[in-house]
Amino acid sequence: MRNVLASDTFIEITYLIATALFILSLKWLSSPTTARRGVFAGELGMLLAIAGTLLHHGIVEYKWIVIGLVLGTIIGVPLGEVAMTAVPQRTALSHAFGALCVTLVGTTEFYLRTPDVPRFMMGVLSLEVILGSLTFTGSLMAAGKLQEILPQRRSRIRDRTSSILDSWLSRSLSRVCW
Amino acid sequence: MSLTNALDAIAVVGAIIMAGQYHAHRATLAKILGTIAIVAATSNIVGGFLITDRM
Repeated sequence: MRNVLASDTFIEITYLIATALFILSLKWLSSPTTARRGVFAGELGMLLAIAGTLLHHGIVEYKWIVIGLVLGTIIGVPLGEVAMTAVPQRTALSHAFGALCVTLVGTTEFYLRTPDVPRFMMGVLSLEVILGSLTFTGSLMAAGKLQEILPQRRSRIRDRTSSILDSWLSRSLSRVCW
Repeated sequence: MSLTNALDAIAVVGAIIMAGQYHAHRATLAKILGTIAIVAATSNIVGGFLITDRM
Protein backbone atom coordinates (compact mmCIF):
# COMPACT_ATOMS: atom_id res chain seq x y z
CA MET A 1 0.00 0.00 0.00
CA ARG A 2 2.80 2.35 0.98
CA ASN A 3 4.43 1.66 -2.39
CA VAL A 4 1.28 2.54 -4.30
CA LEU A 5 0.84 5.74 -2.27
CA ALA A 6 4.43 6.81 -2.72
CA SER A 7 4.57 6.13 -6.45
CA ASP A 8 5.23 9.09 -8.70
CA THR A 9 2.05 8.51 -10.70
CA PHE A 10 -0.10 8.69 -7.59
CA ILE A 11 1.56 11.93 -6.48
CA GLU A 12 1.19 13.44 -9.93
CA ILE A 13 -2.52 12.56 -9.96
CA THR A 14 -2.85 14.25 -6.55
CA TYR A 15 -1.16 17.39 -7.92
CA LEU A 16 -3.38 17.33 -11.01
CA ILE A 17 -6.55 17.15 -8.90
CA ALA A 18 -5.21 19.91 -6.62
CA THR A 19 -4.52 22.15 -9.63
CA ALA A 20 -8.01 21.55 -11.00
CA LEU A 21 -9.49 22.37 -7.57
CA PHE A 22 -7.49 25.64 -7.42
CA ILE A 23 -8.80 26.72 -10.81
CA LEU A 24 -12.37 25.83 -9.84
CA SER A 25 -11.85 27.60 -6.52
CA LEU A 26 -10.91 30.88 -8.23
CA LYS A 27 -13.80 30.53 -10.67
CA TRP A 28 -16.37 29.81 -7.95
CA LEU A 29 -15.07 32.64 -5.82
CA SER A 30 -16.11 35.20 -8.42
CA SER A 31 -19.80 34.78 -7.60
CA PRO A 32 -21.34 35.24 -4.11
CA THR A 33 -23.61 32.21 -4.52
CA THR A 34 -20.71 29.81 -5.10
CA ALA A 35 -18.03 31.58 -3.02
CA ARG A 36 -18.30 29.15 -0.07
CA ARG A 37 -17.80 26.23 -2.40
CA GLY A 38 -14.79 28.07 -3.84
CA VAL A 39 -13.11 28.40 -0.43
CA PHE A 40 -13.79 24.74 0.29
CA ALA A 41 -12.33 23.66 -3.06
CA GLY A 42 -9.21 25.72 -2.33
CA GLU A 43 -8.80 24.13 1.11
CA LEU A 44 -9.27 20.63 -0.29
CA GLY A 45 -6.78 21.32 -3.10
CA MET A 46 -4.15 22.58 -0.66
CA LEU A 47 -4.69 19.57 1.63
CA LEU A 48 -4.26 17.19 -1.32
CA ALA A 49 -1.11 18.94 -2.53
CA ILE A 50 0.51 18.84 0.94
CA ALA A 51 -0.57 15.24 1.60
CA GLY A 52 0.75 14.16 -1.81
CA THR A 53 4.11 15.81 -1.11
CA LEU A 54 4.40 14.26 2.35
CA LEU A 55 3.96 10.80 0.77
CA HIS A 56 6.82 11.47 -1.66
CA HIS A 57 9.46 8.75 -1.29
CA GLY A 58 12.23 11.39 -1.26
CA ILE A 59 10.99 12.73 2.08
CA VAL A 60 12.92 10.94 4.77
CA GLU A 61 12.63 13.22 7.76
CA TYR A 62 9.39 14.66 9.06
CA LYS A 63 10.58 16.41 12.21
CA TRP A 64 11.33 19.81 10.67
CA ILE A 65 8.28 19.66 8.43
CA VAL A 66 6.01 19.15 11.43
CA ILE A 67 7.77 21.92 13.39
CA GLY A 68 7.34 24.26 10.39
CA LEU A 69 3.67 23.40 9.92
CA VAL A 70 2.90 23.87 13.62
CA LEU A 71 4.79 27.19 13.91
CA GLY A 72 3.16 28.44 10.71
CA THR A 73 -0.28 27.59 12.08
CA ILE A 74 0.48 29.42 15.33
CA ILE A 75 1.44 32.55 13.34
CA GLY A 76 -1.35 32.09 10.79
CA VAL A 77 -4.32 31.91 13.17
CA PRO A 78 -3.96 35.48 14.55
CA LEU A 79 -3.29 36.70 10.99
CA GLY A 80 -6.64 35.18 10.01
CA GLU A 81 -8.45 36.95 12.83
CA VAL A 82 -7.44 40.57 12.27
CA ALA A 83 -10.12 43.25 12.08
CA MET A 84 -11.62 43.73 8.61
CA THR A 85 -10.15 47.25 8.52
CA ALA A 86 -6.66 45.75 8.86
CA VAL A 87 -7.06 43.44 5.87
CA PRO A 88 -4.97 45.60 3.46
CA GLN A 89 -1.83 45.45 5.61
CA ARG A 90 -2.54 41.81 6.41
CA THR A 91 -2.62 41.07 2.69
CA ALA A 92 0.65 42.94 2.16
CA LEU A 93 2.30 41.05 5.02
CA SER A 94 0.99 37.80 3.62
CA HIS A 95 2.46 38.67 0.22
CA ALA A 96 5.78 39.21 1.97
CA PHE A 97 5.61 35.77 3.64
CA GLY A 98 4.71 34.07 0.36
CA ALA A 99 7.63 35.78 -1.36
CA LEU A 100 9.97 34.85 1.51
CA CYS A 101 9.01 31.20 1.05
CA VAL A 102 9.68 31.33 -2.71
CA THR A 103 13.01 33.14 -2.22
CA LEU A 104 14.21 30.65 0.38
CA VAL A 105 13.19 27.65 -1.74
CA GLY A 106 15.08 29.13 -4.71
CA THR A 107 18.16 29.93 -2.62
CA THR A 108 18.20 26.46 -1.05
CA GLU A 109 17.84 24.76 -4.42
CA PHE A 110 20.84 26.73 -5.67
CA TYR A 111 22.84 26.06 -2.50
CA LEU A 112 22.23 22.30 -2.75
CA ARG A 113 23.09 22.06 -6.46
CA THR A 114 25.96 24.51 -6.74
CA PRO A 115 28.43 24.38 -8.49
CA ASP A 116 26.75 22.13 -11.09
CA VAL A 117 23.62 24.12 -11.82
CA PRO A 118 22.35 23.64 -15.39
CA ARG A 119 22.19 26.91 -17.30
CA PHE A 120 18.41 26.93 -17.75
CA MET A 121 17.79 26.13 -14.10
CA MET A 122 20.22 28.87 -13.09
CA GLY A 123 18.16 31.37 -15.10
CA VAL A 124 14.91 30.22 -13.54
CA LEU A 125 16.36 30.24 -10.02
CA SER A 126 17.82 33.72 -10.52
CA LEU A 127 14.46 35.09 -11.64
CA GLU A 128 12.75 33.34 -8.74
CA VAL A 129 15.12 34.79 -6.17
CA ILE A 130 15.21 38.29 -7.73
CA LEU A 131 11.42 38.58 -8.00
CA GLY A 132 10.89 36.86 -4.67
CA SER A 133 13.19 39.14 -2.70
CA LEU A 134 11.83 42.20 -4.53
CA THR A 135 8.30 41.21 -3.53
CA PHE A 136 9.42 40.40 0.01
CA THR A 137 10.98 43.77 0.78
CA GLY A 138 8.42 45.72 -1.27
CA SER A 139 5.47 44.08 0.48
CA LEU A 140 7.06 44.63 3.89
CA MET A 141 7.38 48.34 3.03
CA ALA A 142 3.76 48.43 1.88
CA ALA A 143 2.55 46.68 5.04
CA GLY A 144 4.57 49.05 7.21
CA LYS A 145 3.14 52.10 5.47
CA LEU A 146 -0.45 50.83 5.64
CA GLN A 147 -0.03 50.08 9.34
CA GLU A 148 1.55 53.55 9.68
CA ILE A 149 4.70 52.16 11.26
CA LEU A 150 6.74 53.58 8.37
CA PRO A 151 6.56 57.20 7.17
CA GLN A 152 4.10 57.77 4.32
CA ARG A 153 6.51 59.77 2.17
CA ARG A 154 8.54 58.16 -0.58
CA SER A 155 11.48 56.29 0.88
CA ARG A 156 14.79 55.86 -0.82
CA ILE A 157 17.99 54.18 0.09
CA ARG A 158 20.23 56.69 1.83
CA ASP A 159 22.63 58.56 -0.44
CA ARG A 160 25.64 57.18 1.37
CA THR A 161 24.53 53.57 0.87
CA SER A 162 23.73 54.17 -2.77
CA SER A 163 27.10 55.79 -3.44
CA ILE A 164 28.86 52.80 -1.83
CA LEU A 165 26.70 50.53 -3.98
CA ASP A 166 27.52 52.65 -7.03
CA SER A 167 31.26 52.49 -6.55
CA TRP A 168 31.10 48.77 -5.78
CA LEU A 169 29.03 48.14 -8.92
CA SER A 170 31.29 50.20 -11.16
CA ARG A 171 34.37 48.49 -9.75
CA SER A 172 32.89 44.99 -10.31
CA LEU A 173 31.71 45.96 -13.77
CA SER A 174 35.11 47.31 -14.80
CA ARG A 175 36.69 44.10 -13.51
CA VAL A 176 34.31 42.06 -15.68
CA CYS A 177 34.90 44.28 -18.71
CA TRP A 178 38.69 44.30 -18.54
CA MET B 1 -7.40 38.55 -2.31
CA SER B 2 -6.72 36.57 0.85
CA LEU B 3 -7.69 33.37 -0.96
CA THR B 4 -5.18 34.00 -3.73
CA ASN B 5 -2.65 34.58 -0.94
CA ALA B 6 -3.55 31.19 0.47
CA LEU B 7 -3.33 29.45 -2.93
CA ASP B 8 -0.03 31.22 -3.59
CA ALA B 9 1.32 29.33 -0.58
CA ILE B 10 1.44 26.21 -2.76
CA ALA B 11 5.18 26.98 -2.73
CA VAL B 12 5.03 25.11 0.60
CA VAL B 13 5.36 21.95 -1.49
CA GLY B 14 8.87 23.00 -2.52
CA ALA B 15 9.69 23.98 1.05
CA ILE B 16 8.54 20.59 2.39
CA ILE B 17 10.82 18.82 -0.06
CA MET B 18 13.75 21.05 0.99
CA ALA B 19 13.20 20.39 4.69
CA GLY B 20 12.44 16.67 4.48
CA GLN B 21 14.64 15.41 1.66
CA TYR B 22 17.77 13.39 2.28
CA HIS B 23 20.84 15.54 1.67
CA ALA B 24 24.24 13.91 1.43
CA HIS B 25 25.92 17.20 2.31
CA ARG B 26 24.98 20.80 3.23
CA ALA B 27 21.97 19.37 5.06
CA THR B 28 21.80 21.73 8.04
CA LEU B 29 21.40 25.04 6.25
CA ALA B 30 19.02 23.49 3.69
CA LYS B 31 16.80 22.21 6.49
CA ILE B 32 16.85 25.53 8.36
CA LEU B 33 15.92 27.53 5.25
CA GLY B 34 13.30 24.94 4.25
CA THR B 35 11.73 25.08 7.70
CA ILE B 36 11.55 28.89 7.68
CA ALA B 37 9.94 28.67 4.24
CA ILE B 38 7.37 26.16 5.55
CA VAL B 39 6.53 28.49 8.47
CA ALA B 40 6.04 31.47 6.13
CA ALA B 41 3.87 29.54 3.67
CA THR B 42 1.79 27.75 6.31
CA SER B 43 0.95 31.03 8.02
CA ASN B 44 -0.43 32.17 4.66
CA ILE B 45 -2.45 29.01 4.14
CA VAL B 46 -4.00 29.10 7.62
CA GLY B 47 -4.46 32.88 7.78
CA GLY B 48 -5.67 33.18 4.19
CA PHE B 49 -8.34 30.51 4.43
CA LEU B 50 -9.48 31.68 7.89
CA ILE B 51 -9.99 35.25 6.73
CA THR B 52 -11.67 34.26 3.45
CA ASP B 53 -14.04 32.05 5.42
CA ARG B 54 -15.08 35.01 7.58
CA MET B 55 -15.97 37.24 4.64
